[in-house]
Order: sequence, then structure tokens, then C-alpha cells
Amino acid sequence: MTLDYLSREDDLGKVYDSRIMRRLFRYARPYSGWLLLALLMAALMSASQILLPYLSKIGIDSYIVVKDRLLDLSPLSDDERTDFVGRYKDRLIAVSDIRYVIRDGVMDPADAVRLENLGAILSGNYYRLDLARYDEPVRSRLQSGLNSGLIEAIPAKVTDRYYVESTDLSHLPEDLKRLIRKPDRMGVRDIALVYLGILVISLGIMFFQVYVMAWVGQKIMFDIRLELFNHIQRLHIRFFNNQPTGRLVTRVTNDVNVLNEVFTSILVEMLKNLLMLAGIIIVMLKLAPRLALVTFCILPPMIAVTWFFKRKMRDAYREVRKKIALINATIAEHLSGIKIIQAFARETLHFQKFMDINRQAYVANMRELVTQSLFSPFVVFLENLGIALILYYGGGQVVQQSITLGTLVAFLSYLSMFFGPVRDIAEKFNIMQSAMASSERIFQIMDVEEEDSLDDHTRLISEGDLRGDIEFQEVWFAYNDEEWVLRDVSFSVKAGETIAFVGATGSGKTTIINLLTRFYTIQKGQILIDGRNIENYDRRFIRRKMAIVLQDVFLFAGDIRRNIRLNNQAITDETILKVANQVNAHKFIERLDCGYDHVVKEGGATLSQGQRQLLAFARALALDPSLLILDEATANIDSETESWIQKGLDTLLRNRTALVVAHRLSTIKKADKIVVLHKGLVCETGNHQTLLAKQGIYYKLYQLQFKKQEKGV
Amino acid sequence: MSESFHIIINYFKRYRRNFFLGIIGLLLVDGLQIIIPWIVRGSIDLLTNHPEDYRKILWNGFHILLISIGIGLSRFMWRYFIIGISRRIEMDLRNSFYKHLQALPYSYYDRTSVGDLMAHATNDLEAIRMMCGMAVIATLDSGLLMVASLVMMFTINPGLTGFVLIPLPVITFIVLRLGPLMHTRFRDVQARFSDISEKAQETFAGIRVVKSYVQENQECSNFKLINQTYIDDNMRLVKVWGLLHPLIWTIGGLCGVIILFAGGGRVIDGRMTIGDFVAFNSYLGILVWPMIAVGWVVNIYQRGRASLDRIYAILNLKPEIRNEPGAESVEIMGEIEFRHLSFSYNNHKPVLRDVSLKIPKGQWLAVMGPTGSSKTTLVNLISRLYDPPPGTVFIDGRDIRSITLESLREQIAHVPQQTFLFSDSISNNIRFGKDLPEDQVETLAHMARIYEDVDHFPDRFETLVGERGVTLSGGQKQRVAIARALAADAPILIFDDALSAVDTETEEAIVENIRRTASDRTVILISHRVSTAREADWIVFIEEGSIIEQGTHSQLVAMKGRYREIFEHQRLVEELEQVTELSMLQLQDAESPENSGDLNDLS
Repeated sequence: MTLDYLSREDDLGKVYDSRIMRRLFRYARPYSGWLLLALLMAALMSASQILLPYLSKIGIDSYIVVKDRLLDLSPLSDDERTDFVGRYKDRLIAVSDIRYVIRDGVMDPADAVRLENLGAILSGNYYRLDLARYDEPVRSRLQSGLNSGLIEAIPAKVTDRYYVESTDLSHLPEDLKRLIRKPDRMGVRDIALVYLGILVISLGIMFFQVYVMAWVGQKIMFDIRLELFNHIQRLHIRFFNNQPTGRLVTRVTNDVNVLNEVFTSILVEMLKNLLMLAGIIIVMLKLAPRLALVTFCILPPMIAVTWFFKRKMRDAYREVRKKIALINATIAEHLSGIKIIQAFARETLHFQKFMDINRQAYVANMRELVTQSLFSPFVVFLENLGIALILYYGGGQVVQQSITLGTLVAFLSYLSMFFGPVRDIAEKFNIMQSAMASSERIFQIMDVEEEDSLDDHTRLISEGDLRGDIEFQEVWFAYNDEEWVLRDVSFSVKAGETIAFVGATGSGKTTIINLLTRFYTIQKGQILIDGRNIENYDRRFIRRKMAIVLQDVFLFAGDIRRNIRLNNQAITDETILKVANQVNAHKFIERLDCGYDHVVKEGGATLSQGQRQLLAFARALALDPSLLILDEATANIDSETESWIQKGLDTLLRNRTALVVAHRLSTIKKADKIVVLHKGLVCETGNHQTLLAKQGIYYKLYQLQFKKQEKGV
Repeated sequence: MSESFHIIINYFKRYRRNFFLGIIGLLLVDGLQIIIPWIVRGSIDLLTNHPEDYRKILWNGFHILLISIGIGLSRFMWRYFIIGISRRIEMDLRNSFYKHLQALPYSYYDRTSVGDLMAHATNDLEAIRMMCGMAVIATLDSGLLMVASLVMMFTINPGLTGFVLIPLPVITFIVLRLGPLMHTRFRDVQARFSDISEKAQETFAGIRVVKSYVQENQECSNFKLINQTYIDDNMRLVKVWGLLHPLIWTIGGLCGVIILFAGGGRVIDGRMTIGDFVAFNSYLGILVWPMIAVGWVVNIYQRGRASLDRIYAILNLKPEIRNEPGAESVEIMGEIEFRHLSFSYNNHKPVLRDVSLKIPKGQWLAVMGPTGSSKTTLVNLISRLYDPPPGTVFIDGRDIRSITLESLREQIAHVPQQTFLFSDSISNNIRFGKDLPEDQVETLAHMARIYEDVDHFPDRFETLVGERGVTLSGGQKQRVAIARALAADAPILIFDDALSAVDTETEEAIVENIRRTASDRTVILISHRVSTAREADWIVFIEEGSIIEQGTHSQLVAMKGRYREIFEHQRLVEELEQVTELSMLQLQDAESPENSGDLNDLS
């Protein structure tokens, strides 16, 4: 059994471990359909977020801004002209043999520069007036305006198309101008509607994606937690001796919760962020490759800075966490020890210690604050550097006709969308690290073998009845190595008999009980039940056939009924009432608030030791076991309860095999057989009379310990 | 404004210089931030109207970079100063809280759980810090930004600003409504999470019962049930927070739609430039945050106020036990006297009744009696850990209430029933704040018979106690506590059943050591063992708060009362021990040698 991981509580290891990941993904498999759906929706989300600036771009370029340019290709040679016209065929509209109108932002920068230098690009922006876009009577009105020269325009070689210089357009009468621009406004409206539609759909998708992802994460967590819980329950009792309960609880609670992150925030969010980044990069490259490459110049420093600061911040944060834990531990300790501090008048001293720790935490906090506060100026600077680059370089390209104004504006939007995903990805790496550490701790427990893992269940007896004959044959047993707790112990009990074990603490009485439940396996000799070796029985079968009452009665949170029937719904309320009556527990239960519905707090602090014993008797009797194992309570119990217990015990012991670690003379006297143990050895065996007659250890014990009880009762 | 809030006001007054600097930084940041879209606007308009001058944009870019450096510096400034103040306030408040807790009496801790106080010290202080830091910043920042960007938007186009302002307040409304809902649902989730924790705790702690009664499957289905409710509550929470962010995003987007439609139309109509259009979008982006912040601030503020009230309620508790007016510090000789002392906790039925007893300086008194007979109460009253009525407890003939608490307690060394050691080194536990040289610590350890145990630890006296170090046995802890009490070098020594986990032989040795080296000290020994009690000069037997027998050992034995009974019983037990030891030896001799040989092979 490996327990060395205990010391590695705070250890943070790798960011990614393929072995652990594979194992984790096994838990995701049942939900792979949902996971895929969530991923798909995440992709859709990214797509729609990328689409929105693009829509604005279309709006600006197609409708809002008037920006076609007039080219006079006369400075070009014929060949050059044919070549040029050939290359821009679809995007050139001829207005004469040498004059063309070119759509905004389509020219190759090299061409743009050359034409500019040749003076082939005429100044002024032109608005394309397509009469086909207008219905009657507007069209006739425009036609007459054009004919009358009210609207100054260059007719294109295409029918019904004219080009109006933008200053001429703005000098037109207001109503006419509005009429001309009406289709543009409609276009903007349509785009705005599409934009709105995307928003509404995105809202739905976004919510649904978060919901599905949360659900999948919860389900996976649920599965892992249940499996882990069940697994821990089935581990060998030895495991629990070495393991603080709190630590196991942390595994089942916090560590599993961290795993949830692997699927929800890491898997999906990470992919979403990557998709987003990739999407933005692709769109930018498509829109304006050169400007995109220039803009990407800020990416490497941005990634480097983010990486650097996220690491720094994580370290700083870890330091803060440590200090906070120290503060909490100190407060908790000083408050627990407040009485001793006050009794020795050491308040000032401890206050100074506390102030020191508190100051350390403050310093750590400030360090974190400074790191954090340094990060954001860098980001701001880089983002603004991006803006400046786009404005300057992009502005040049706009002027040169290689990109449109809309593209430039879209770039500004995309720039601000870069930063979120980069920051997120850096953050996820930190989470990933702790998730790996948690999974490792969980899987380490999962790998500890369950107590019956070596049993061959097909050959074990797991059905039928037990008579209750028990025999120990030269049993040797040690918990560790060779520190023998039982040495060569032999005894036998016939079905229906009561055997009592007597001896001082550490004599091995409790160990005998542990062996019968198959919590431990003996090293030498054998234990027979109904004449067969105990190892031939399924552990759970044996345990089901017996009832154990331990000295320290463990009570579960819940009412009295729950504590008697445990989880066995076959035990009816009537049975509970009956057994409670039989073991004499009924009287005290009735006196509790709410009687049988009285809620016991964890640990059962509200009940006395004697009352708890009685409850445990009822619990055992309700099972009606063929074998009873009883570790009598030693604690002082008031005389009234004592007499109740006495009577309850009589009922319990009747008609079944019972092994009792006895402290009460009455129990011992009634036993069919008494075994006197000392330091793991059987010293004497017999019944009360024969042992007294022998005048050995039992005789002395009787004289010193039990005779007084006899007097007392 | 309520009283509790004055605490915060006073802190801000104390740190007003930093606060002022922070505000300046904040003003600068917000002012500068607002300029950048304006420059972008100018650049874009330049591109459309005067493309030939586009190289001027280089200057604009340069300005943007300069401004962003300014933003960076000022942002650092306000974060450092204002968040720094909140951290300071948290520290200061935590110090006062801690100091105050120290002054609260035993009785307070009898009825308050450490867990509750911890929750105050962590959650409540954090909520207050958030209120002093983030909430203050968010209020100022969002207020400033909101005003500034609205002014800019109005300058560009008042009509369009009006349109955009319609959906924005909805964001505030949503945050305001969904925030608390999220908070309560989150609390539900946390409560379910503790249920899981508790269930796991219970099952693992009771694993023996679970296993012996073969309850594994049922426990698992119970656990499953709790986990199912946890999922359900989580999904209820997801319904709220899964909606919050998308809703805000969508409403922000809605404003974008309005700008696109109405703003685009205005550009088409020539009532606005394309630069205006772009700048307007940027200002909108700036405006969304204040809208979220307003709702958020209200939530933080409400939580912070509630926490502040809770902390204030504790800070306002007056320590019940404190120095009486005119109390002075005195040097104690060691005579103790109880005069008709009756005492009860919180006016319940008296636990001590009319106890009168005088212990001369340098005498040893043993106190015996059954559990719950108020022996501990009696000794706790001497050092005023609980307050006895005036005129009932005297030291050197002085009412202890006329002595200052510090001098009284410093001169009474206590070894309590439940040993509490701090997770510190053994030597520091023994010193307990006293400046003692190494050899002195070792001498004390010898006296308390802990030296040899400590000597076996690898780090000896520097060995840490508790979770991070060695786990000491009950007896070892008690002996360290005895050494600690001896280190106090006090004229009065009290052992409250402090030798129970030590065997008789060691106990005798310790008692002998103390007798030898500190013969002038007054010692009170509470014990269940006659063997301890008989060493005392005087023995009192207490039952139900009254002294029922007193005298020397021989007098009490002669009395044939309760003391005699216990004396006899304990003698019998001792005899049994001897008898069994003897028979064990005989049995071990009989054990066959070849048997053990076989066993060696097994391992």
C-alpha cells in the first residue's frame, strides 16, 4: 500500500500528463455526445463573435462610406492597360475607354503605388448611382435629374449606372440626397437586423452551451465522486488507521471539484479560446494580409508578457494563499489555546506573533497587487500600440486603395478581441496544473486495492445460514511485523453459547473481534466457523450474519430510527419499537424530544454513554444475527442505566452465539465459557465456578475488581 | 450612517494621503482613457477627408502611445494606493479583532465555537475588504467613466446618445436583480457541498460500523442522493450565472445595433462623420463596464455592511473580566484563602457552595473528588479565569480583584487538565514567551521528566510539536506542560489533574523534583490518585461543590469516609497488576522455543 503521497499535499506537478488525461477521459466518454455538442456550440459562439465586426465592415463599405475612385489609365502603355484591366476585370467599371471606376480597397498595393505615382488615380471619391436600385417614381425623378444636369454624374458603360462625385453629392438638395441614399439606409438597416438576429441566437447558444457544459461537468464529477466514495468504503480497515479522515474527505470533495475544471473550463474554454484566436487570425489575414501581419507584431510580446506575468502572479498568489492559511491556522490555534494564553497572561506575546504573521500576509498581498498592477499597463500599452499600428499602417493602405475603411475599423475591433483569449489560456494553464495534481491524488487512492480484491468470489461461501460454532486453533496474529498481539490462541464456542473474554487493556480481546469480522487476516493457525476456515467465507456474508456492538458506539447523523435500522428498510417501525423495548432502550428514547424522531447530531454528543450502548443493542437485535460480538463499555454509567443495560443484554444474548469482551461481572458469570487473556496469551479457560475453584488469575481478578461490583449492584 | 460604519470612515481618514493619491490616479486614467477614441476619430476623419495628409496619423499614433504610458502609470498608481488601503484596513481590522478576542473571558469561549470566530475572521473581513477596496474603486471609476464618456458621446451626437442610453440601464438592472439571486443560490450550493463533506466524514469515521453491518451499498446510495441534490442546486445556480454574462453581452451588442443602424444612417445623411461613428462605438464599449459595476457595487456594499455589523458586534462586547479600578500589580508570596466562596456560571445553580479554606504559603494542597465536583472551577477562580464574587478569594490576605490581571496570572502557573501545546518547537513551548537560556530549558525538562523523551527526537528541543512535527503521547504532552508551568517560576503552582497520563513512578519522581527545587512554592494538586494526594500537606475531598472531608492522608484514612474507600480500591488494583505480571512471567517461561522459531520463518 503506497501512502507516500500524503506528504505531497501542496505539490504542483506537470501541466499535462497524458496517462492521467487518458484516465480522466474515460469518465467523459458516456457524455461525449453532449461534450461534442457543447464544443460545437462553443465554435458557433466564436464564429458569431467574429462575424459581428465583419458585419459592421460590410455596412461601412457597402453602404455608409462613399468611396469608389476614378482611374485615368492613359499614362499606361496599351499592354500594361490590357494587363491591368484583365487582372481587375470584375472590379473595374469602364466609364470610357481609358477611364475606369475601381471598387474601393481592391487594388494590390504595388499597383496602387504605381498608379498613384503615375497620377492615374484621380482625386475625389465617387458614389455609385445604380438606377436599378430605385423603384418608380424615384427612378424617373433621378433619371430626369441626371438628364437635366441637376445631378452631375459620369455615366458608366453599363446601363443605368452613374458615378457622382462625393462633394457634388453633398451639394444636392437635401431631399434628393436622401432619396439617392435611401437604399443605403435600407442596407444598413438590413445589416443591423442580421446583427440583431445573430445576437439573439447567440444569447440562446451561449446560455445553452454554459448549461450543457455545466451539466456534463457535474455529471462527470458525480460519477467520479461516487466511484471514489464507494471505493474508499471498500478499502482495508488498515488503510483507515493510517489515514486522517479529513484527508479522505478532501479527496472526495475538493479534489473532485477541481477535476470538474478539467472538462468545463479547460477542455471547452481552452478550445473555444483557441478557435477564437484562430478565427480572428484567419479573418484578418483574409481581409488584409499585410495589415494583419503588421498587427500580429504585437502578438509575440503580448504572449510573452502575459506568460511572464501569469507565472509571476501565480507565484505571488500562492504565497498569499500560504500566508492566509498561516493566519487562519494561527487564529485557530491561538483561539483553541486561548485559555492557556490567558492563564499565563501571554496575550501581548501572542498578539505580537499574530501581528507579525498578519504583516507578512499584507506584504504578500501587496506583492501580488504590484505584480497584477504592473501587468495591466503592459497590456494597455500593447493594445494601444496595436491601435496606433493599425491607424498608421492601415491608414496608408486605405489611402492607397488596398483596403477599405471598413476593414480598418474591423481590425480595430478584432484587436480588442485578441487579449481576452490569450489571458484566459494563460490562466487555464494554472488551473490545469492543480487539476493534474488533484487527479493524481484521486487516482492514487483509486489504485489502492479493495479489501476483497484478492478473494476468489466463485469459491467463497456467500449464501445460506450460519449455525454459529466458532473455533480458534493456535492463532497467531500481529498488526505489524512481529509484534504479536495474539500468541497461540485457541478456544471454541458452540452454537448458542456465550463466551466471555477477560483481561487488562492490551491483552488482545478486541483483536479477536477484529479477526472474526475478517477485518484482518491471521498469520498462523486457523479460525473455523461451523467447522470451515473463515477464509472460505465471503467477508460481507460473515458480517451480514453477525452483529457487532463496539465500546465506542458510533452514531450517524439522523433520527433514532435511522440509527437502529441503519439503512435496512426491511426493518419496520414496529420492529424498531419491539427491539427497543426488548433491550430496554424504549424508556429513554421516549423521554427524548420527539422520541424516535429525535435527531442525533454527528457523534451523538447529546446522548450519554449508557444510552448509546442501549441504542447499539437495539441496532444489533434488529438484525437478529446468528452471531453476536460485543465489546462492553467500560465507562462509568449511572446505576439506573446500568440496570437497564443489564436487562437489555440478557435479551440480546439469548439464543445466539455470543463473543463478549466483558467488563461486567454479571455478564461474565452468565457466560458459558470464560477466557482469561493477558498480553495475547490465553491464561485460563473455564466457567465462573471452575475458574474460581482454580484460584488462579481469574480468582484474583474476581477478588479485586468484580467483587466490588457484586456488592454495588 | 450607523455606528459600525464609523470604523471604516476612521480608517479612510487615517490613510487619506494614499487615498488622495489613488483618486488622482483614477482621475488621470479615466481622463486619458477617454481621449484615445477621440484620437482614433480624428485619424479616421483625416483618412476620409484629407487622405493626402495621412502621414499626420503617425503623430496621432505617437500621442496614443504617450497617453497609454500615462494610463499605465496612473492605473498602477490608483490600484496600488486604493487597493493597498483596503489591504491595510483588512490587516488593521484583523489585528484589532484578534486583540479583542484575546481579552474576552473563558466564559465567552465556553459558549462560542472556534469555527464561528474563524468564519468571522476570514469571510467577514474579506467582505469588508471588498467593500473598502473594489467597491470604492468601482464606484468612483464607473461614475467618472460614465460621466466622461457620456459627455463625449453628447459632444459627438446628442440624439444618438439618447438612443443608446435606452438599453444600457437594463444591464444595471439585470446585475442588481441576478446578483443577489446568484448569491443565494451559490450559498445553497455551498451548503450542499458541506452536506457531501459531512456525509463522507461520517462514513469514513464510522467505517467500522459501516463495514461490520455491511452498509456499503446503502451508504453509497445515500451519498448518491446527496450528490444528486448538489447537482440540482448547481444547475439552479448555472441557470442564473449562465444567463448573466450572455445577457450583458447581448445588451451591449444591442447598443451596437442601434449605433450601426441609427449612427450609420446619420453618417449616410452626412450628419455625422465615419470617425464619429467609430468613436461612438468605442465610448459605448467604455460605458458598458460602469453599468455592470453599479449593480455589482450595490451587492458588494450590502454584503460588506452585513459583515461589518457582525464584526462590530463582537468588537463591541465588553471583556467581562478586566482590571478593577485601583488594581495594582503586587509581588505574590503564596498564601491563598477562600472565604465562604459560592460560585455559579451564568446564574445557574451554584457549582461551589460556601467553600472556606486557607492554604499557607509554601504548603501543598491536594484536591480530590469525583468528576464534575467543581475542582477545576475552584482553581480557575484563583487566577480569575472566571470571576469569583468580591471578597471571597484572597492571596496574601488581599482580595484578588485588587490585583491586576497580568500580575496575578503571571504569578500563578497552571498545568491544565487538557494539555494544550502550540505547534512550535518543544523548547518554545516550555519557554512560552519567557527568555530562558538553553540549559535552563533542559533543567526544566529534567525536572518534568521529559528530558529523555526529547533527547531521543532527532531535533531534540527544536522538534516541532503537532501536525508538522512529532505527535507526542498524552503523557509526554503533560510533562511538557509541566515544564512550561515550572518555567514560569511562579510562587503558586496548580496541577489540574495534570499527571493522569503519567505512570505512578514518573509521577512520584516529578513530585519529588518539585518538592526539592521549589520548596517555598504553594502547590495545589487536583488528582484522582491517592498516591499523588498523600504527598500533600493537606487534602480536601470535594463533592458537588462542597468540601466534605479534609485533613492529612492519615487523618482521612482513619476517617473511613469517601477518601478511605478510594484509597482501598486503588490499592487492590495495584495488587492485581503485580499478580498478573507475575503469572505472565511464568507463562512466558513456558512458551516453547521451537514455536517462535517457526514464526520467524513466516516473516
